[in-house]
Amino acid sequence: MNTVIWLLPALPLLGFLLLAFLGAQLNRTTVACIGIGSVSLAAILGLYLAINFISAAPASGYISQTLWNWMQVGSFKAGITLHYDALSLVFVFVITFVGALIHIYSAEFMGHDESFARFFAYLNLFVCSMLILVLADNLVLMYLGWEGVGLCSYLLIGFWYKNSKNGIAAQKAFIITRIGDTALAIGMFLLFKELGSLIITDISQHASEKLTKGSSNANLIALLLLGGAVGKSAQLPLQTWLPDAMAGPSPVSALIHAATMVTAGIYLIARMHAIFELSPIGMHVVAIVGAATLLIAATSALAQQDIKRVLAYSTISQLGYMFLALGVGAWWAAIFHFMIHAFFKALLFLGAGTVIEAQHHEHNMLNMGGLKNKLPTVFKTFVIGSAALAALPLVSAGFYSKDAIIWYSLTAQNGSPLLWLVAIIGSFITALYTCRMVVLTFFGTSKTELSYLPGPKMHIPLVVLAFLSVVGGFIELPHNFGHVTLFSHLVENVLPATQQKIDPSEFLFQLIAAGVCLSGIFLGWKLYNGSREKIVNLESGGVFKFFLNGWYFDALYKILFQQPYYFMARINKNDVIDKLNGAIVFTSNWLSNQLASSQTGSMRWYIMGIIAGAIMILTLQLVL
Amino acid sequence: MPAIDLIKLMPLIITSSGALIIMLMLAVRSGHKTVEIACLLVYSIGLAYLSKPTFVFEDNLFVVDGFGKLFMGLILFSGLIITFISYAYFNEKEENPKVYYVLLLLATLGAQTLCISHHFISLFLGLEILSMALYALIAYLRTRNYAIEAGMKYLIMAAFSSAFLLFGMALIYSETGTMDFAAIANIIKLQSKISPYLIMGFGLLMVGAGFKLSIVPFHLWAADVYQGAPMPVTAFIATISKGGMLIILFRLLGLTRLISLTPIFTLMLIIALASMLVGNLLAVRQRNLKRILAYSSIANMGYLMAALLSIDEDGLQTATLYTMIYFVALLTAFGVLSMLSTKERDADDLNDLKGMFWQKPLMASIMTVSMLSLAGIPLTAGFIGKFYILKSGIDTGQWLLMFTLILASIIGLFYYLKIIVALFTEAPSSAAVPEKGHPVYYFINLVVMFLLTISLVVLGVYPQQLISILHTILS
Repeated sequence: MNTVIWLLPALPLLGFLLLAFLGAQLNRTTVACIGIGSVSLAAILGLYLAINFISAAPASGYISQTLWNWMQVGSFKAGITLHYDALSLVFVFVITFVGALIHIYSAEFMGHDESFARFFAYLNLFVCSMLILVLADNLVLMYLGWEGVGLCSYLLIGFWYKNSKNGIAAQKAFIITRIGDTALAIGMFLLFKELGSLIITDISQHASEKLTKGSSNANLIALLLLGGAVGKSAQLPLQTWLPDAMAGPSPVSALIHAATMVTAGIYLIARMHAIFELSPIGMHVVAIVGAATLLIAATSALAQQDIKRVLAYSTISQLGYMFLALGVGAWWAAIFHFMIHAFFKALLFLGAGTVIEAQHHEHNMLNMGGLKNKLPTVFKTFVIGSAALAALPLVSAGFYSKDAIIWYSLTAQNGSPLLWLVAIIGSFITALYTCRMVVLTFFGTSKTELSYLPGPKMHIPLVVLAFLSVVGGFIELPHNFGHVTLFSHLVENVLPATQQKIDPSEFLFQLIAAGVCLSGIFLGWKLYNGSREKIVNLESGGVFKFFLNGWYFDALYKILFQQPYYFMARINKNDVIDKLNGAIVFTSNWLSNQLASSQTGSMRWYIMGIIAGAIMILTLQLVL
Repeated sequence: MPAIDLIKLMPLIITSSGALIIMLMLAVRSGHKTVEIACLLVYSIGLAYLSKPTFVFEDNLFVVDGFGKLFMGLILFSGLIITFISYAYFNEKEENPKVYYVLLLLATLGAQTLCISHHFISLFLGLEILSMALYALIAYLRTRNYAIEAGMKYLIMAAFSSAFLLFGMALIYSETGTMDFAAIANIIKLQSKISPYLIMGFGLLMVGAGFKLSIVPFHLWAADVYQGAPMPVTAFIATISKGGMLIILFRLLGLTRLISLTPIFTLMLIIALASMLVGNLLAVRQRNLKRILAYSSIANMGYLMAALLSIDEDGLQTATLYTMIYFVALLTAFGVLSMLSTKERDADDLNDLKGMFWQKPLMASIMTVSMLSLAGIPLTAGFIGKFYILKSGIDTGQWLLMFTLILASIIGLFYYLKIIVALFTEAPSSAAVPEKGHPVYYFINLVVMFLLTISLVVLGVYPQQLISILHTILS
């Protein structure tokens, strides 16, 4: 069984190579078959591996397969070695399964795009890189996948490169995540200096021996790793790239900017839990970053008019919940919410993509409405996804995953009432903006004529994801009703169990969470199920403008970083350093000219040269 | 001289009797192809004989040791390659091409003599055999514009510098009473204060040697002669003729450790610094390929002097390694250039290479590798050569020399890259490339050049084997 792990990333890679080199010659059906086929095969293989792993888990808790010794210098060793354990299992499942569904959806969604093969090639490369990221046995290989997904994200955000706005959005995403990547790289260097190994099993086993708890080195490493995670997962203060990344096609937003790549930061922190446990400060910072982000992003989502931007801010906010869970020490709850979030957010993005596609690429929700009857399947699945996002009590998967986080933000080791309060306020706003989105899009009167009706290839993924968004939650039920622990049991081998410092009545807090959610939905229905003029009036206030612009982070960064940079660039317009290099060129040129004039071609001169040389040598030697 | 001693000079005898046989063949009007094959055979037999490990001896005039054999092998190998490229080059020329091979073998004989000489008499003998043949070789294509001029220049200046050389030898002899390298070194080392005549003697000796090696300030002739000589002869001057003089310097100054005497050291240091800089600077604005290679050879001789100066355990090994690599890269470059040459003129202008990659990708790639190796770019042998020079220089603390070497290499990079850029630029919409008249020879040449290129790359990636072979031979 452990000999086939390599096929997981290899299949999409093969798909990428085929499409990249032969894509131009193949017809659309073949391209779609290769693109979908490679990922679907990987998904089937992933399921097979998962079933095998769950039914007969190895004693060590992981399976590894070494393919090649990548580099070895002194004590440093990095192999192309794959490491498959319960955490990888969850990620592999989401990446390949949700990935395959999104590929199927894309076959129709992108059906008329002229760069059909290029799209699938990038998408396959992305799946390959993401699988390498979560299957890597050492941080160096993980970094390869990390950079690979960053590249694919860049390529796919700027997929419609003819519009320069998309190119700028792609560059923004690439540059901002790069800030985090650099922090991650430095963190890795420091980690290697302290531990002497970057292999994941070594780190989790020996970190506590080599690093003292709370030491400045442990804190520094944890914060640097967090820097990487913050960049990739669009958390405060590097969150500004994700809303702009919506310039890419909707399936890309669903796969990369909701379900998988942006959760790489969650994966990194969960993987490095041994380091974070040695740094209480690091854990607190993770929780605070998560809490602050979820609030800022949720309020921003409330004011957005572009449906995809609502979902983008909502993604940032939900990632904030996951960071909060990691920070308070509720490791499994974060991963559980990751999985459920992948289902419903992919569903919402695909639904939004269909809505936009059906209405002449209209993104503004204020110009939508009344789609309830026109796109019934999309409506039903979208509502299910929205229910999960809003954490509708009992029936939605989102309730179970998010409730666990809210509960642990109070009771877990690093939890506090303040964090709980932020989480519950966030939950209220989430319910409110979700309701706003659904009402504005599907209810009311129709504003735009439909230009296109989605076919089965777009419907099937929506239905499957909607199904998962409901039943996905039932694999892990709170202990006061149901008490199903399939998920936490699965990952307990890899992730530390959640320690609770207090244990108040869980039932009461569940009631509060449910009540907050329902009141959010109720308020949303009251506010937005009316005439559009009223809504526009309501949202014209200064606060909404502040939220619409994402708390003006872009403007702030422009003043803080961009303008000083431009200023420095302007001052150094003539490139002072380059002048030094220029001096060598200038001097060489000048000397060359001078020396060339000694090459006269005249014999007398040459003979004189020899004589002068001889005299020079003689005087020199006699003087010395 | 008994017959048993004659056998010990077999490599020289093979070459000289080869020259005689070819002369006889000319008398019976053999064809160009036959003569060429005979010449190839002579070189091959010489090389084969050298590979016999038991073959060592020493007497008053000659010493056949591993070092000498290695250089002799290098010279015979260069001669073999030059013979390869000569056929196609000379066959369509107006002059009778066959006498060329006699001269070639005789010049090689002179260089071979230098390789095993450890005495002033054999040194001068070898030098003159080499020079005599070269005068004629340089002016061989006498109807060409610069041929006679180049030959005359070389003749007069070589004679002039030989006078310095002889006078230097005389001064050294008068002070030491011996003409044997090792004996001279011993006597000098015993003296508490070195007499000024002796220093003058070495200074004048260096004028003669410096002329042959074209190091600054005796470099002025190089460009004119390189340009005027036929392409294979230019290759000969650049490799074989300089190789003969190099080993003399290695023996006289290196093996005897005379280089560590302050006056000689200072002298060589100044020469090395000046050669590196002046050579590269002169080449910067040059557009004639032969002249570029002439100036580059001035700089490369400077690098070799640097290797000689940082003499320690491995200094000679480094210098030998660099010489070998430099020769191979140079032969490759000249090989390509002579294949490009036409009946009327040599392909020695930068414009002749323009866009070559798009018409003859293999040849352009060969030229590129050769240039990269000359520039010392990693993954080519040239990098290994330069790396070891730097290493032994830094090991012995020659900071001024090494910084100059780096600076000079940077300047040098410019003109090597200029050539590579020319290869890859858009071809000027020229008329169809004229077909070569000797497809078979063209093909053979291409294969030979290709093999040399491969060896440059292989040596650049796995140099260890060659280095250990050198180590065993030299120790």
